[in-house]
Amino acid sequence: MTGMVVNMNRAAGSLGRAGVSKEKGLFDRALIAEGMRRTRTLALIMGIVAWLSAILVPFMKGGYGAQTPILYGPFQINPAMLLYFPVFAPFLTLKAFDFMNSRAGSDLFHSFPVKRRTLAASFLTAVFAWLMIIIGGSILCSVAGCAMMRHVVDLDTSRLGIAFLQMAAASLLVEMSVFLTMTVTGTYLANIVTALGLIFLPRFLIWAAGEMLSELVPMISRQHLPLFFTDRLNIITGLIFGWLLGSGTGYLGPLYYLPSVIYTVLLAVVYAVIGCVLFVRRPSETAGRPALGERLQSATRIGIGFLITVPAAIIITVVLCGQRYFFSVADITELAAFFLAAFGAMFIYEYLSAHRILSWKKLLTGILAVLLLDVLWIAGGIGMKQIYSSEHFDKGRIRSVTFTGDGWNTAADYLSSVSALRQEYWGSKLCDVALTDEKILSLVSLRHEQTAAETEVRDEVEILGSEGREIPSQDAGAEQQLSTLETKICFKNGRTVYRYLTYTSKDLKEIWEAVLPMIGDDLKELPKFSTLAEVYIGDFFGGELKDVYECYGEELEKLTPQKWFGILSDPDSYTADVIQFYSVKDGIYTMGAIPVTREFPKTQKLLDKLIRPDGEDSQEP
Amino acid sequence: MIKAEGIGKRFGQTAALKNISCSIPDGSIYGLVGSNGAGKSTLLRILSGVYRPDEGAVTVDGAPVWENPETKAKIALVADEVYFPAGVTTERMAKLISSADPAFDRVRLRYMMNLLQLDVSAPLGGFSKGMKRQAAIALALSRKPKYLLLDEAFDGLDPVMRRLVRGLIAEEIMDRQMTTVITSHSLRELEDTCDTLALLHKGGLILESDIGMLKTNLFKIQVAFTDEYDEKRFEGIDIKSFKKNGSVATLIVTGDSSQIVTMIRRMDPVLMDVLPLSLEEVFTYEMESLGYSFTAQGIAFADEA
Repeated sequence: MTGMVVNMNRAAGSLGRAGVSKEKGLFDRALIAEGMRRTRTLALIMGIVAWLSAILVPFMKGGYGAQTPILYGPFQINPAMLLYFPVFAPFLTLKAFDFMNSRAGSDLFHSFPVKRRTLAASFLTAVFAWLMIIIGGSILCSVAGCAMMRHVVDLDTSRLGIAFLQMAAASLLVEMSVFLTMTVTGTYLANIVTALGLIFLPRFLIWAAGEMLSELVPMISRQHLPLFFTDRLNIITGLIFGWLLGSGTGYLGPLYYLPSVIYTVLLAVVYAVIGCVLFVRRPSETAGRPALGERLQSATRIGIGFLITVPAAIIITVVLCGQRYFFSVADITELAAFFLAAFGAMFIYEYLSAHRILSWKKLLTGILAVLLLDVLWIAGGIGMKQIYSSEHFDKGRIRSVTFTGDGWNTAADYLSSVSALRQEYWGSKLCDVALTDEKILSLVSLRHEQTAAETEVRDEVEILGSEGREIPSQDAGAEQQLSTLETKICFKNGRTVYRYLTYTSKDLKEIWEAVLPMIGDDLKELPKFSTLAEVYIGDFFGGELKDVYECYGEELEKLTPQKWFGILSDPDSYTADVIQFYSVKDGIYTMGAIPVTREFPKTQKLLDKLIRPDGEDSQEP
Repeated sequence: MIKAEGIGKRFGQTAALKNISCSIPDGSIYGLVGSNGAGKSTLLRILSGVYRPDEGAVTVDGAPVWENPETKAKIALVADEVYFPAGVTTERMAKLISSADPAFDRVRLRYMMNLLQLDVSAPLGGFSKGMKRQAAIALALSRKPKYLLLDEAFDGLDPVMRRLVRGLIAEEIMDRQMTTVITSHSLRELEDTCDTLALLHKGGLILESDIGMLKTNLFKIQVAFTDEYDEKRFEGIDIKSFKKNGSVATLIVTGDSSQIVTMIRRMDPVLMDVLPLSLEEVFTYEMESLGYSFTAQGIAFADEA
């Protein structure tokens, strides 16, 4: 070889490799440190934002001028925590694995002498480590902020642990979802679109199926669909869907619910495993392309199109099943708009992601695929309708029934539409009472038949909404005021179903007469003050009402269950001062109201002192 | 030794490599030449374990490369498109590489960077193309690889830097018997560097030969005679090419040079010169003998129908 030979200083460094390096396990400390270095700047910026907001909110809350400490839950005192998983987690993951979107970058990292799965696992660990630091630091800052404002702010520390676990689980799931989608896509746009699809599309479809089912079969209890349908398990979709769509248990439903942590973490682990397998198999040359191949690109396109047509498919299904009566040209136009929007979106996605115009052949194939999926959806909906409508619950097959709906407390309104967000506290006590009385079982069997028949004859009946409707009833002389109650029916074969069944006022009285002896003193049990999420009357809330609330509980102890039921079911009770509270049971917020009637004289005195210090008369009847 | 057997690689419908088999012995400097899109970069990436071949296998010292950290630790690749994460310095890149390869020698890196007059603390994004390439080569050499794969390594380097970088590589080769594979589309660039050359064309390995042997076996003779003559006069000599301009003929012949010179001398020419062939000329005639024809201007090939 010609050329200048450089007289190098051999003492400058050792020549020759020191020996083969020790093989790295699945997780490598040096690579984890490298992963944290790669994302350090972004993580620190996020951390500072998170910790500052965690410190500041208690000061802001304290500035409302409360006289006594107000109890706050972790998410109330630090609402920014809910942004960590949708904002911090995806961006940190995109940053850690940004080399996957560059062919040259991908080549560089894959040329390193490490197993790909080690690289993936280590970088994922690094991202998760940052997220834990941010979330943990944020909670500590909340505690510190509340400690500094403890004269007006009281933090419910008993739920800090579950709050941390939930945000950690949600962040983990987002991280793994983004990572998984990065293994099959190679541009940022495709990463984000596919990640959103992975996170939301399955659950959206399940939610949409559940909504459709509720529409097709109003008897079906939306709160108790089979496990797969519940949106309390997936923290991310439960929160987002609850907030955006008002679905299921509402946006706070999954919070403080331990099973949601377990489910979310398990799902994250599944995604992590799949992602690592795909990362190992991923051809380095696909970096920079929107999808690994044409098939995946087509699948993404079709997924986008189908997603947009789902509402139209639901409308069509409802119309075909006879559940919707008004269908005009405007409705047809609305349906057409969905489909046009879907096809347009497919076209636009192809242009933005692959920088090419979709050919007519591919567009047509995509349209046909979307339409086929819609047909399958509609067929599935019709099938589900047929199955549920043909149910018969023979009395002899029923082991017990439990009434899980609310409405018991407001005597003036025996009717209830079960709130998606809240269950009535007193009604929730009914949830634990399983009735086996033959008379009650017969009643339930009969009302099921009648409710089912009613849904089938809706087009012959004017729908009056939840205020009451005509029912072809066998009960001659029955009051026409009807209630819909969620009924849990347990069969002798072990099966359990939940149905909204319609009952008359007479039915409700019979049910209560059967239930009351079984609830007994439990009916008088108030939740402990320290466990309340909120308590208020007028402009007074939180710690200000502690003495009043506890006094009420003491006076309630002296009443019989029958007396207490009488107060609860008497409309006149609610012309008195009424204290409202929220407590959390099984991750669901339940609302209760306690009227301060003449049976609670001490409580009334305390309340008057608080809310009417000038000596006005109370509103007691 | 790097051994590739029956390597095939497709990108979609395109076959980038077709049934490539080659052996790169230890301590050699192996040149891989070919036109744009011939498959040089793809082959290097397969040899370094970045790409997985669709067919065939690559072994280094008898062990497979793909997903084998122990084998990959012996190989350093400097790609044609040098990549550095945004905002990093050479020092930072050293940390990155060290986390994956603990044998990385930072002291050596500093020394080389000083020699190349590059600041290890300066952001690599601010470097010119040539400077980035120098930094990339320094980083690769700091891993003390047994096999160094350079893809268009000298592209963007000025002549002075080219010599300096060649010197760094030469030092490694002499001290550690490092094996080097260099790709280029320029034969001239490889002529003075490599001891073995392989030619890739449309994904296939057309030619692989020791350079010395290529040049020794093939040479040019210019002869002139007073009388009329044609190619038939040189019967018995293996002639690759015969071109006559007036009374002077230029022959490209293959075989033992001294024997052939003696034979021609016996014909009593008025002029006889034995001229060395450039590598480009050698390749030209070798390709023609294989049935390819091409135009000069770098290397561009077109298969004969």
